Amino acid sequence: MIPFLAQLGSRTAGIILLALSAIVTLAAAWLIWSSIARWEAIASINAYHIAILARADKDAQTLAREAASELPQNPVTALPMLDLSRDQDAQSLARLSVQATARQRHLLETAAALSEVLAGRPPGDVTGDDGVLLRYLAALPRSGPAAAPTLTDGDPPQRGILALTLQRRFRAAWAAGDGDAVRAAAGPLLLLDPRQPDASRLRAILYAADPQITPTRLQTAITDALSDIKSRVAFVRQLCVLLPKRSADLVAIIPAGQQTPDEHRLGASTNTGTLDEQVRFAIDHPDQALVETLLPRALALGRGDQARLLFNLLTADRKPPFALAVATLEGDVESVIALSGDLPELHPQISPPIIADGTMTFQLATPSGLLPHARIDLRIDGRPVSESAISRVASLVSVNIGTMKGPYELRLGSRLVASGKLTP
Amino acid sequence: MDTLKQALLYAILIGVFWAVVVGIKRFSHVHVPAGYNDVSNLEEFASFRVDRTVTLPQLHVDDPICYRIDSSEDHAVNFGWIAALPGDDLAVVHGAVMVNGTACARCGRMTLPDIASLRIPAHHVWVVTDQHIADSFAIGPIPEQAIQGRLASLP
Repeated sequence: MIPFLAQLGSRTAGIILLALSAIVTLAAAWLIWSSIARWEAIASINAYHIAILARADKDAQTLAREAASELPQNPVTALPMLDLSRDQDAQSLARLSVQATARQRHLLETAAALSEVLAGRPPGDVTGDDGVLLRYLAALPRSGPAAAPTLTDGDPPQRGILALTLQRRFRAAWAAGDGDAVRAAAGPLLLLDPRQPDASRLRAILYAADPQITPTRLQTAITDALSDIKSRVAFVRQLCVLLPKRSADLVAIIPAGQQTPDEHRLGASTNTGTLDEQVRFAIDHPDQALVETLLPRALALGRGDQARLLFNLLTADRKPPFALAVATLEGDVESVIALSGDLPELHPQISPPIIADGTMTFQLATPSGLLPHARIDLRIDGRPVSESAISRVASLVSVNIGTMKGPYELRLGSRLVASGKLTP
Repeated sequence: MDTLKQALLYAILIGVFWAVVVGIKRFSHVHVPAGYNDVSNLEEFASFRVDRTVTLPQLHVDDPICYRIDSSEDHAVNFGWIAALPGDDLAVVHGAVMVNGTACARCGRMTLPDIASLRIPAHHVWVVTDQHIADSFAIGPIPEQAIQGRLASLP
């Protein structure tokens, strides 16, 4: 036994040793308890980060609350529960710095600087990329969104500060109508959180800004991004302002019935949108410039029906440049001859008819390749052949003549095209 | 002398305890969950050795890791490779993923439009998988808290 205790006597020594052992046991219990609390808090804060990643916001809040209640003085567990835009919460940062390690103190200083920026004050002296971003954030309303912040090779930024910077920069660029800045901010913002609520819109912006993306893919991306037609139209119109080079492709996404005359003209000039819808709009909203833009498109597509509708909308002085093209597309030989002059190659001809099994077959076209569309008037032995007996596929004409024979005469309108004698 | 012997015994006991704990963490195994198909050539229920003692500063680009993206116990681990570390710049140019200006071979070609550079935030890594179902292109940078450990290898 220790001599000092021996002097006190066995009874007193026993009491002292008992007291000492009780203190040690309490200290050990406290150590174990605080270790368990710390372990649980760290587990909660880790789960909080995973919940944030999983976008389980309610779970994340619950976990952050649990972590903060288990270790209220620790900056790592307390910070997620703080709203740095509130002065009251910002002031509690100073309280947390008392127990902070050096690394945590830097985190707290950054958080304090962020709260200053959120309050509209300069961020103070923060080093690394966080400092760059915070100073950029503080200056953003003044300097505008044109230039992206130049990050250093120092400490990488905190995710929250990076996200806030990209969001603010994107909003400022969008509000300023700066297409290049919108595109530059949209990409990193999407990469940082591909599952955010506006991710599909950001993706649509990036697709619209990339000239290599086809109009069809762009249309799919925007339709996927916004199912509500009203929101989609508003979004597309905003995109047209931001990305004028892509506006023709974008306009095609707006339903024809909701397009303005300018949008119709834009869509028509770049062959986007449905021709029938465009023509219907042109009929409802007569506009010579729009009609003159749509007519060449109808002609190029070989849509004689739509070309005729558009041609009829033209004023008399604007018709001559299109008259020959429309007549050619319609196979109106008489009009073509009238407009081009009575040239031999414009006169319709037929190939020598082939008679077999009661059917007369021949090709009907002009030497220049024009396919006449006028009604065929065929008479055999002075008797007219019923129109229902004549079938036409492009230039090929097939006539069911049965047992008819004798001299024949084929006319297109009043023009005699061919005559001869049918021999079975 | 007895006191010294006792101190030595306690030290050995603590050392053995520490070695057991570290050994369990360093040489534990992780199993591929049923239906997992984000990394090609991974068979269901296959087992991989995982070092759970590794910390973020010890990780390198191309290290195979396992990570969790859901806090519920029902969701098992995911597997992938680290493509970028905190402070790296990641961008997409003509479908190629560029990390600090160099093409990321592991990332493959993406069907994404051109994207300006993103600085990978502190305490996060950019993880890629073969199918990009649950990698960083689908869910963003992975926080270090979600990393379960470094795998010895991944096919």
